[in-house]
This record gives sequence, C-alpha cells and structure tokens, in this order.
Amino acid sequence: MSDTRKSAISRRTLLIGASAGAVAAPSIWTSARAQTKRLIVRTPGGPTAEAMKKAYYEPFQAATGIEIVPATSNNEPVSQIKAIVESKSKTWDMAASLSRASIRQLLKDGDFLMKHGLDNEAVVKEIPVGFRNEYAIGHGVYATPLTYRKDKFKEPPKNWKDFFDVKAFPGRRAMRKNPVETLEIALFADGVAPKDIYPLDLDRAFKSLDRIKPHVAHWWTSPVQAIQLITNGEVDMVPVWSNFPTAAAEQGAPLSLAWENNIWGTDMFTILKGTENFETCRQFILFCLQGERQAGVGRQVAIAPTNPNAFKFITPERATVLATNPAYQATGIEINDEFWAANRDAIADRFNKWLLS
Amino acid sequence: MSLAASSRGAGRPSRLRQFTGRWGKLAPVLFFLLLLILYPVGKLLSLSFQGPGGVFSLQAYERLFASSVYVQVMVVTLKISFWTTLATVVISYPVARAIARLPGATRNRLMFWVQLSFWCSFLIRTFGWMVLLNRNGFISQTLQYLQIVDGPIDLLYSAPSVIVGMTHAMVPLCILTMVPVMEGIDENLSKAGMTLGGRPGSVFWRVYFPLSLPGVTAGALLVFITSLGFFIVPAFLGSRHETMITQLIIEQVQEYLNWGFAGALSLLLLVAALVIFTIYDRLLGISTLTGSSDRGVKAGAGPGWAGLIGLKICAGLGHVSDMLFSAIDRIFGNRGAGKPRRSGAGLEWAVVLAILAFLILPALIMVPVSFTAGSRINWPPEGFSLRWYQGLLDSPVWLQAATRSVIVALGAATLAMLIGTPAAFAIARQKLPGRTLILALVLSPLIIPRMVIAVALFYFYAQIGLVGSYAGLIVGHAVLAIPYVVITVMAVLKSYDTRYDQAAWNLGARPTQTLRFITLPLIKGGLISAFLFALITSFDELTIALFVTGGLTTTLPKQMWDDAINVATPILAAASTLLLVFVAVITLLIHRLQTKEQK
Amino acid sequence: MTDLTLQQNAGTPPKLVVSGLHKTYGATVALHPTDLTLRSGEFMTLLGPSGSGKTTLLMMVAGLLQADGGELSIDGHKATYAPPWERGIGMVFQNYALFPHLTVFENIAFPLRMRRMPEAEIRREVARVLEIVQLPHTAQRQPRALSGGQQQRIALARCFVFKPSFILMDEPLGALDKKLRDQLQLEIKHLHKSLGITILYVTHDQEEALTMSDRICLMNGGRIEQLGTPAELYFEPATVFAADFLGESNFLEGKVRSNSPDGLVIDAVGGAISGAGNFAAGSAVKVMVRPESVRAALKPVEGWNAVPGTVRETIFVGGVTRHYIELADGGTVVALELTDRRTQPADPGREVFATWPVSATVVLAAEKGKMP
Repeated sequence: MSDTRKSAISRRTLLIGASAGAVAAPSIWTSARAQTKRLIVRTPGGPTAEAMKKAYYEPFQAATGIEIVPATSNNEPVSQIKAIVESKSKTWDMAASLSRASIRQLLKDGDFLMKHGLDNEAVVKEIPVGFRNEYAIGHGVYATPLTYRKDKFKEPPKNWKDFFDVKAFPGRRAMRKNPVETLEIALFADGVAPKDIYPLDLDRAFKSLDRIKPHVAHWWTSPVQAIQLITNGEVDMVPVWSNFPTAAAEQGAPLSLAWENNIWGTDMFTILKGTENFETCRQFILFCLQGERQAGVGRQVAIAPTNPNAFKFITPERATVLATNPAYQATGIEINDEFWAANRDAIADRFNKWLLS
Repeated sequence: MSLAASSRGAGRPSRLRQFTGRWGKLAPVLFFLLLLILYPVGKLLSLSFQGPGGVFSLQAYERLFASSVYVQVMVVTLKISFWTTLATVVISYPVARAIARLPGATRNRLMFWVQLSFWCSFLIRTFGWMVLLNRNGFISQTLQYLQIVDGPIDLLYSAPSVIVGMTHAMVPLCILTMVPVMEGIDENLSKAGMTLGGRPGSVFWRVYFPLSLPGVTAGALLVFITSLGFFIVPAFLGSRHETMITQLIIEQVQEYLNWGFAGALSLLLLVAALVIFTIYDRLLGISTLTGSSDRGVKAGAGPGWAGLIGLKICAGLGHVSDMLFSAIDRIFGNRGAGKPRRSGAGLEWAVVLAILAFLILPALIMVPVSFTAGSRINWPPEGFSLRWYQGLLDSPVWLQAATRSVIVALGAATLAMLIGTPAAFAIARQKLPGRTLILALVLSPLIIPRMVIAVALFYFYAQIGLVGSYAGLIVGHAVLAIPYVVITVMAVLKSYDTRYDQAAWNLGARPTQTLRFITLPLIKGGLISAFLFALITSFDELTIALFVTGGLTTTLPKQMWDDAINVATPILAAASTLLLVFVAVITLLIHRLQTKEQK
Repeated sequence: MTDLTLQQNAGTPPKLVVSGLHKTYGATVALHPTDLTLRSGEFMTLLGPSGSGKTTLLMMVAGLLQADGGELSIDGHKATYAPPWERGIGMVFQNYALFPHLTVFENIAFPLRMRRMPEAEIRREVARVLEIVQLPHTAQRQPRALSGGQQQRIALARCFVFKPSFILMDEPLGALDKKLRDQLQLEIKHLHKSLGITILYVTHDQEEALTMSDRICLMNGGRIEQLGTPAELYFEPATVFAADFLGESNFLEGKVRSNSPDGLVIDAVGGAISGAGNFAAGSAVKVMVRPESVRAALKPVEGWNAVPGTVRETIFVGGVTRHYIELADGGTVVALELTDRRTQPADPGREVFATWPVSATVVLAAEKGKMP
C-alpha cells in the first residue's frame, strides 16, 4: 500500500521517538516491561489505523514490551462491544476512536464501560475538559469543513453560505446522505450563528436544504465515495471529513478546504468492562495522550490532536489541516450528541422522506 | 417375495427406520439453520418489540407506520428488485440457452467468461461501473471522443444505473441456475415442433420456453430475493431516490445505533419477501424449485387458470415473434426455398457476445486502471507504473487475507454441500409434511438481510467463543451458501430420471453404491455448479466477515472493503486484476483436467 | 428434373427429388453427393448401418439440417433451403419427441394450432386421429403416463393429424419390443395404404425394411449402395455389402475363367461354377448364394453348381434344417432345407456336395463393397 522505503524510514524515526518517550514517561509503564502482555484494541480501519499503529502501538510496544493488537471494526461498534461484554468473551480490552455518541449509547444501555480514573494524571490535565469525561478521553478530533476543487473556482468558496450560493459559485455539489452535520450546514448557510445552531430549527434547516436540493448531484454514504466524486470531477464541492480530502490532496488531487463553521466531533479511548488488563489499558491511554504521540498521528492523517501541546511537534503548515487549530476552533462547533441522541429518530424519518420527495 | 425367509426382507421396516429414513437427510440442515439462523435472528428481531428498559412495546412499529417514508422505501426496493429480476432473466436466458446447446469446447469457453465475471468481487464490479459510467468516465469520454455527444453525460446516479449494476451482479448466478435445466431439454422436441409446422418463434415459446420454465423461475426467485438485500450498489450508483430498505437498516445499525428500529425494518423486509414468495408460489408454483414436476406440468396445460393464461401468453408471444422474424426476412429479402437461410445463429451469437462483454467489462476496465501512476481509480489512467502491484505484494495483510479467503471458501463450500445436498434429495424426492415450511427455512438465509444475520451471528458467536475463529467464519458462510446448494441440486434432480437408480438397485447396488456410482456421477454438473455457488458466496462475502471476525482477522473482501471505504486507491484495481488472472488460470486448469480425463 | 417429371405416369411430379445433395462435418463426409427420387405414394426405406448417412439425408429432407450443396425438391418445388415449418412434411422421431409439458390432446393439436385451425375443428380432428390409433381415452393424459407403444401411436397421430402427404420416420419403432413392433409395422403399412401418403422411413433393421418397403435405399459410408425393390435387393444384390447386409449369404472366392454369351465360368474352390454377369476373364469375383438355395446332396445335381465338402453340423430348427458344410479351403457353406421326415439326416463327417441352381448364383466384384 505504501512505499517501502518511506515506511522503513518513518518506522526508524518513530522508534527513536518512542524511546525518547519512554525516558520522559512516568514509571508506571516501565515496570510492566518485563511481562509479555498484549492488549486488544478496537481500531478503525484504513490510514487512521496505520497512523495509530505507527504513532501509538509500535512505540508503546517498543517502550513496554506489551503488544497492541488492533481489531478493526465498522464505524460505531456499539453492538459488538455490548456482545463482547455481555458474553464475557473478552475479545477486546478497550476501544480507540469511539465517537461520543457511541459512548453515550453504551452508558445509556447498561454497564459496559469502566471509569478510567485518570483525571488527576498530569498528561490528562493537559487536555481540555471538553474532550473528556469519567469513562472516556478524547485522543483525536475529526471535522467536516467544505472540500472544493481549487481548479474550478477563481474565487474559492469560503463557507457554507458560499456552498449554498449556486449563482456565485456554479458547479455540481454532493452532500452526505445523513441528517447529522447536513442540517447544521443548512442552518449555517441560512445565516444562523454558531452559538444558535442547537437546538436545531428543523423547519428552517429543511427549508434551507430545499434551496440546494436540485443542485446536489449525489448524496454520498461513505467518505471515500465523496472523494471519488470530487477527484473524478463528478462534483466540485462536497462537505466531508477533513482527513479524506487531505489524504487525497497529498496524493496530488487539486482539493482545498474551507474551514469556516466546520463541524467537529471527538474520537475517544474507553475501557471495556470485564477486561483483565485494566491497568495496562490505563498505561496505554496515558502513553498515547502525550502531545508528542498525538502529533505523530496528526502528521500522518488529518486527525487533530486533543492535547494542545501536540502543536509544538507539528509544522504550522500541517496545522492548517487539523481541526483543533485555534484558528478553526473559533467559528467551528462540536456536534451536539445530546441533541442528536434525543431527536435523531424523528429527524431521520423526516430527512429520509425529504430525500425521496 | 423370494426374500421372505431372510430376516431383513421379511417384516415391515420399523417405525424408527421409517422416521430416520424420512428425516435423516434433513436433520443436519434443520439443526444447522434453526441454531444459526432462526434462534439468533429471532432473538435479535425480538429487540424490535422492546421499549426503553426492555419491556414489551410497539414503539418501533408505531414509528414505522407513522411516517410514509418506510413504506415508500419498501416500494422502491420492490420496484428496483423487480426490474433487476426482469433484466437479469432476459439477459441470462440467451447465454444459458447457448451454453446448454453448444458442444463441449465452445460451451466451456462461454462458461469460462461467465464464471470469470462471477468470481470478481461485487465491490470491484461496482467500482468498475463507476469508472465506466462516471461523468468523466470511460463511456462518457469515448462518446465525446467519437463526437456522438458534445459534453460529459450523466449516466450514474439514477434508477437505470442501479439496475444495471445489480443486474450485472446477478446475471452469472441466474445463468448458472438455468443451464442445468436447459441441458435436460431434448433438442428433438424443438425439431419436432418445426416439422409440425411451428415457426421458430412459436416453437420457442410453445415448446422450449415452457420446458425451460423451471430454470427461469428458480433463477428469477433467487435473483429477486437476493436483490431485496442489496445496499452497496444503490449507495454507490443510485441517486437519492434509489434508497433501498437494507440501506436504512444499516444506517440504523451503524449510525443511529437503534437496534430495535433496525429489527422492525428487517421484519418489514422479511414480511415483504414472504409475501412475494407466497404470490410467486401461487402463480408459478414453488414446486418449480422442489423438483416435483407434477404441478409444473399441470400449469402448462391442465385446468389451472394460471397455466391456461401462461399458454395463451406463450402462444401470443410466439405469434408476435413469428411475425417479427418474417418481417425481418422480408426486409432483408431473406426468403424463399432456393437459397441458404442466413440462419438466426449469427444474430444469436451477436447477442450472446454482447452480453458477455457486458459481464466482463467492469472487471476488465480495472486492468488498465491498476497500472496507473496516479493514486485514484479513474479514467483514463495517469501514466504507467507498477506501484500498486508492489504495494499489494509487499503487504502481508493482503496475502494473508487472500489465503484465509481461499481456506474459508473451500471449507464453507464443502460444509454447505455436505449439509445441503442430502436436504435437496429429501425435499425433492420424499413426501414430507410441511414441505413448503421446510423450504422456507432453507431459503431463509437468502430472505433475511445479511446485515441482520451478521449481527445475530456475532451475538451468538460471542457467547460460544467463536468470534474471530476460522470455524466461525466457515460455519457462517456455509449458512449463506446452503440455499444456493439446495436450489441448484433440486433443479438438477428434477430432470433426473429415477429409473437409473431403480436399475442400479436391481443390478444389486446398495443405496450408497447407487448414489456413488450412478446418481452422483449423473448429476455431477449440477453438483459442480452448486459447489461453485457455495465457493463464490463465501469468497465474495463481506457482511458476515465484517462482524464475526471480530476485527481480529481479515478476508479478501473485507480487506478490499477496508481499502474501498477508507482510501479507495488503485490497489483495489491491482487486487482485482491479480484475482482475475488467478481465477482465469484456475478455471483453465480445471478445463484442461476435464478434457484430459475425457481422453 | 423435367425428364423425371415426365416419367411420372399421371403427370404428377415425384414427391421428392434429391440431386447432388451433400453434407460434410469438418473432415467427415456425412453424405456424398446423392441423387434420389421418391414417387408419390411410395414407401421407401433408407436402410444402413449407423453412420451410413441415412439420418443425415432424412434430416436434410425434413429441413432440420442445412445441406452444403445440391438440390432438393418436393412436389416439384425447389425446397433445398426451405424452413422445416414450410415443407408440410410430417416426421416421427425415434424417441417420439412428445412434448412432456402438454397433454396428449395438446400434443396432437399442436400442428393444427400452428396452422390456425378453428378450435371446433381441432377438437374434431384430434378425436378422429385418436380413434384411428385406438387411444381416444388418453386425450387428457400426460404423455409420460402412457406406455411406449401408446406414446408411439400418439406420435403417429400427431403426425397424421395435419394430413401431410409426405411423412418421414426416423427409426420410429426402435425402442419397442418385437411383438409391438410387428403390430405397429402392420398398422403403419395399413395407414400408408389407406391414406395414400408417401413415406420415407429410416431403419437399420433389414427385416423391417423388407417387410414394409416398396423400395429400399441401402446406404453405406455416406453413399447409396443400392436402390430397388426388396426382391431386387434380396435376389440381385449389386455388391458384397448389399448381399451381406440383407439376409443370410454364402460367399465363395473365385476367378473368372471365361466369359461367353452362355454365361460365366468361374474357378472356385473344388471346381468350376457357372453364373451370369459382365466380368472379364481373369478378374477376381465373389460368388454369392443364399442358404435356402443350397442343397446338401450326396452327388452333384445335373445342371446345378456344386462344390464338395464335409458336413460339420446339422441343426434341426423346426420347419427348416441347417447344414454347415466345410469346404476344402476351410470356408463354410450353409444349406437351408425344408425339413422332410424322409430325408436322411446328414451325419457329421459325411462327404457331400453343396449344390444350387445356376439361376441362384450371384457373381459380385470382389473389390467392391466392404467385406464382412
């Protein structure tokens, strides 16, 4: 998949980084080094998993001798986690990159997660409170800015208003076939201020969507589809998670991002009930939350660090594609999973009906 | 009864023997499906009757009917499946007929191309269609180059493109279902029809077509039911109007985490499938699947109103095609007894070759794409490089996934054959109480959406520790393959003359010997098709693999899916091309072995 | 073709004229260029071993096989490439080819429906032919519910129902047992006479051919070997193959000593044999004589041909007795005599003469035709 020479080099640099991390780290994990342990961590697929492997899993093993086994699964593995915990099969010890919504669902449905009890650790304190709770700690931020083709616009679109303005910005558009983020975008386009987005004014949002509907050539269901659409020239603008267009642009696709009013969410670590490796999980989480480690992910894929110290290890140029860049945080909003948890069914019905009509 | 004195032939068989004789062949399939389908799925669907806190509630169903959207989506699903089925049958028929009638070598060559397209992952084929139909894709660019159109044309994201994609996925299955039945039709019957004054059109519609109907209906039913569960093709090739019910189920599972409502939607789909199944049974007779020919025959000529209507329709079609042909003959001056007829064979070949091109094109288009120097799957490829092949071969993950897929597919196909073949014999030949019910159970893995089976199996496996194991994956895939095995084997048994068995018994062969030396060799073609179906079902299976591997191991489709949803690099095209070469080599090798054996 | 038409006495054209018709499959010649004329009302049998080209010829006449070249006309009309459905020729297939998905009634009605006959007429006609084949009660049955003989009768009925004046039959009785076959042979013969139809019949059974045919067309290796009435073929076979294929025959190797207006004199084993034929002196020939013409006699009969030999075996077969007489060169001649109480049974080992009338002697060219 990747160039061997390059990966060999990056692997060596990572190992150097890892040993440096081990020296600087508290003694909590050096003691475990002698044991031959392994941790099974639910991991998303694709380049994000690759990046996490290089920035987190391999250095952790180098530092502690504990092997991290990635278990890849679909986007929201709530049902898997429930089944694993209920059956006490211990297939996974913990999960990475779980959305806030999944954590909320698991907490609501029963006793599936463990409190991590790490709030007083120094490295955790570095992370803004907004990114964590007593069951889960955010380790990455994903965001939806507007992706557009640089070669198609003399004057590039800057925000969602431009995205909805078919006269000033002619071109074909695609949107996500899902109300989450789509309705927020519709409201931004209609001039709603970030602080007033939630609770969503549904009537206003759908009315706003009505305007753009005839100009949406396709409603995507997977982000790669969105990238296919825009790189093949099928469409010229699409809102999609930033790590996908960033990767495509690195490969030479003429894509650019407009970050105003981006909508972001948090990827979190959480520990599953019933694991026999609770301490090791905690040790692993602390290791990964270090700014330098998070920067390791952010350098490879456009998943932004939750630890602000990470930006010390990231070039300013790279920081332009990361959502936690302070410049983007000002106008962006986090998806309000509480609102969505309460209203998603009714909204999904309405959205699907609207789509078909 | 000269055996009267001997102990075994003297008395009536004991009740136990009768019982095991009747149910012995069915027991494995019943046990297997009850345990691995009905129990887990039932448990999962029961979630739809649970409100908050686990108490009984009809909330999910209230929601289902409160908004018209779900019924609307169901209607869309049925419509798309209907058109897909119709298109598939129409396209498959000429190819199946050609394969059934052609002599050895040509037949094998045709079969080769059909199987080649069958073996290509549906995921790759879907990407192939995107490359072909895209605004700036192969067809659009070719038409622009030829100056037939003067700008990019929109071919994607419409109902027709979804139907094209789904039909393409279904045609090989349909062809392989029809062929064994068509092979059983005596060619002399058509000749007799012609000497009795029937023109080719009439002879085809009144004689050949009714006789091939069991194959057509079996193929159509398989295609229709499989079509109901499609979600990737409409997602990739459809517009907002082509939303199918399984997409909504997956959306509920993956994005809204609402199992109860997903269960309710699954039940809606299940009910719709069962209703179709019943209507189908009433109109065409499920016996077309079960191998008992009585009803099928009656439908052709007896007092049944459906049969009479069918006959009239066939007669009408025959008349129309006769007029059409004679009109064509007149236009081309192709009439008169004095000169050789430019027989319809040329036209027939043109049609068959066009269909084969349609089948293979989406996979072939990936070959040039795989050599691109760029990093996107698009047309035309940007430059030339082998970087994606290098990436593929350097990655142990891809190689492991491929090996695992082969092992799992072989295991699952063998298991499905061992369980499915006896069941097919029992259903086709024995008088069984509740046969329709048994058949419905056997077909249930087709009717129940895969996503539902996948999650149900995952729950079940987690309890018994099968998650992430080879055994779990093999068993899961075998469950999916059983219906294909049973239907295919039953279809060949229908045209099998049981007098051969009687002759063998009479010649002193025990039942097992009869099976080994007479029955199985005679139905070998059907068994091989069944095995191939099972093999491909497993080899190309994604949904179950996504869940029951627990994310710890990966199969080839899962690896492709991973790539497709996360990066969609031309490594997919490279994998597809290697797969194409691999399958081609294997298929050719098998053909070579077969011809050697014949010599 | 015109002169052929003139040969017909009543001015009606011949039913079928085949001229130069041929067919090749790859390197195999299925039928060499062949000429054949079938008179109206005639019953002709194509007889020959499998692979002799008889079915190829039949299929081309039916229009089910396209000729590579040559011509074919039916009732004076060119029909070489006419489609089968326009030829109006009936055909009965070896395995009956009854449509398994249609009832007996619908099977028989099929050709009438193809001809768009009104429903009432169809009912009447089907009932009529079912009467003829004596199976009126089977109308609503499925073909497979009938016995082999019944199925064959239905196949005949389906063929007769549209009143074709010309019917092709491809070994129609091959799958039936002897008794049924004999009975159906008579029925077909009877139908042929009473309906005045022309029949071209294919079989490999020489007895069937002899029983039924007005003329037999004997085929071998993709060619017509001999064409004639059953008696001509039997008594005057033109080749060794013809002699051997039809009936039983004794062969003696020989060489023509002289050819005079009185006839041939042939040197054969044990002496001179007289015969007739156009052979130059010195040419190698085969002398053929049917067993029923041969007598086993203690001394030569005056004016008859005779060869000396030894009785090896005598078998009493009821009405006839067979003597196996071994000749000096090791060959055997079979003599078939009507059993007569008064005749002395010839003891094995006894020296006798195999003797037969000169008129029963057939002289054939040795190199022509396949040796048995």
